[in-house]
Amino acid sequence: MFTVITFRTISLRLSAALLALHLVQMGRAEAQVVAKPVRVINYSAENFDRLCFRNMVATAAREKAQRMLNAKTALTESSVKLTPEQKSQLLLAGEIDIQRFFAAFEEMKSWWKFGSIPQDFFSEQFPKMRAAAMPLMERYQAGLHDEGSLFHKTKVMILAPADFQTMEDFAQQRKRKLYRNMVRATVAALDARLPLTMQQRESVITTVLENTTELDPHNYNEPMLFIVLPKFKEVEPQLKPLFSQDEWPVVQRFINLAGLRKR
Amino acid sequence: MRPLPVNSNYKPPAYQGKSRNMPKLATYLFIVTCVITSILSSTAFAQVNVARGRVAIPLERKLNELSQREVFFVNKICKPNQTQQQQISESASEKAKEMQKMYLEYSKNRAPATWPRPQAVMLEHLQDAVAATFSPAVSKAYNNEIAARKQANLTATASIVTNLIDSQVLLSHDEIDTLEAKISEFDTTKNATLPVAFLYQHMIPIPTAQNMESLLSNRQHTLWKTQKHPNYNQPWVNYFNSNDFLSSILPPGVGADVINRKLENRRDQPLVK
Repeated sequence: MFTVITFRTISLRLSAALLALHLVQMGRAEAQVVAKPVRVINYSAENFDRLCFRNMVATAAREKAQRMLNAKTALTESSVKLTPEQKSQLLLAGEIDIQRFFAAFEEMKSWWKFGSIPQDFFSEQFPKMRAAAMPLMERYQAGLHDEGSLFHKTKVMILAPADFQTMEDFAQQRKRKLYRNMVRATVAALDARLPLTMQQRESVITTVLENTTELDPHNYNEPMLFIVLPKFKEVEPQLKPLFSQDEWPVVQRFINLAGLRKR
Repeated sequence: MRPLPVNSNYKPPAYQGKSRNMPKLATYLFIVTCVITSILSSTAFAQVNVARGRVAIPLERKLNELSQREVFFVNKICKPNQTQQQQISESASEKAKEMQKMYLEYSKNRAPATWPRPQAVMLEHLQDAVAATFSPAVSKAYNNEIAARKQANLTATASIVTNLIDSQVLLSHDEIDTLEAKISEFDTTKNATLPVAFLYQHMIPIPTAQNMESLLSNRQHTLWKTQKHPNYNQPWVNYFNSNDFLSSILPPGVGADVINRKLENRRDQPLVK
């Protein structure tokens, strides 16, 4: 069997060849799209530390915790007399708190992949990392030696009840003064925008202090104003009579700035 | 839309390809330029931008806001009659204009850090105006209120500086009071603008390193030195006690619309003669 080569068959074969060539080129183009290099994100363990400890690496954060432990012990010493044994027990308990915290942190860190990571993978991993780190971040910023810590439990154990009460009163007085300072500054911020009389100023400060519970000492993670304003919101009914009818909407607008607080 | 003729003798050619659109384009460009020029010139009257380095503020608006806020306070304390109210209001308004020229001059030859504080300048002027307009008893009451506000601002500033120091070295309640009293004596505290400092950590006026040494015990000072502190940086624009958050808080009757209306009325008056 043979094929008679005519002009028509040549033309058909040429068309088929051109089509094949076109398809091959398309295939190559597709292959090129597939072979396009994946974007890579370089995210190191240090980046993660800085995210968790407000731009500090874990070693620096640990050193800071150690310094705060010493400061806290010294503060306890200024309220009650500690024997050398009691002091070393307290320091040891505080050191264990720090070790426990950083062990938990390192364990959490080990769940994640660091280094050069494909962007897709990173985008999926990052929110999970952040969510998992959040409780630890908050714990660190609040201080590692407050209520619930071994340091605190040791204080309860080693101090006589009267001494413990003295120390608690001392801490409470400190907390109240720091809160008073924040309330004063909040009122001064309002004063700068809506000038207040002496009587208004003093009455606002007194009303807020007498009718709200103290805030914990501020950790400076966010503007102080936004932290204190919700306390003003709590006492709006008591504050309203201190202002004229015209002034009150301005005061409310000021208090509502609390809504700008980052969640 | 028909092209606008540039002059009455102009007659468009019957057909010249693309060049037929040229007169049309030139006319449009002319109109657009006129519009932009008029907008820019009116804006220049409405807002004088003092530019020095990165400082650029709508000065007239801020000064009007300041003068009206302080006039509101005079009204609140002195309870003026209509004539007195008008006198004070006009006096404050004139002072704001004068200050505008003053700051415009300063912007050419003095560093912002050396400029007098707008609020202090305005209050000084109003205290004189109140003394000239009201009885000595009313004037005294006004002066007492101003002094109390100044003191409250100073105490509040010293308070937030103390709280910041406490967050790094832990102070006892007695130390908090002692530190506050000492900090309120420092120039850094006296010159601070509180409301903005209260919003941004880097604007809290931390005392100088030398002053810190005198404030803290050895243990506390060692702890302080080993920690990171915010770098103090407060631009001149904050002397107006305003920022993006606080600019919406205005006394009653001192809305942005009132200030805008005043600016509109002044557009035809030259600012600098």
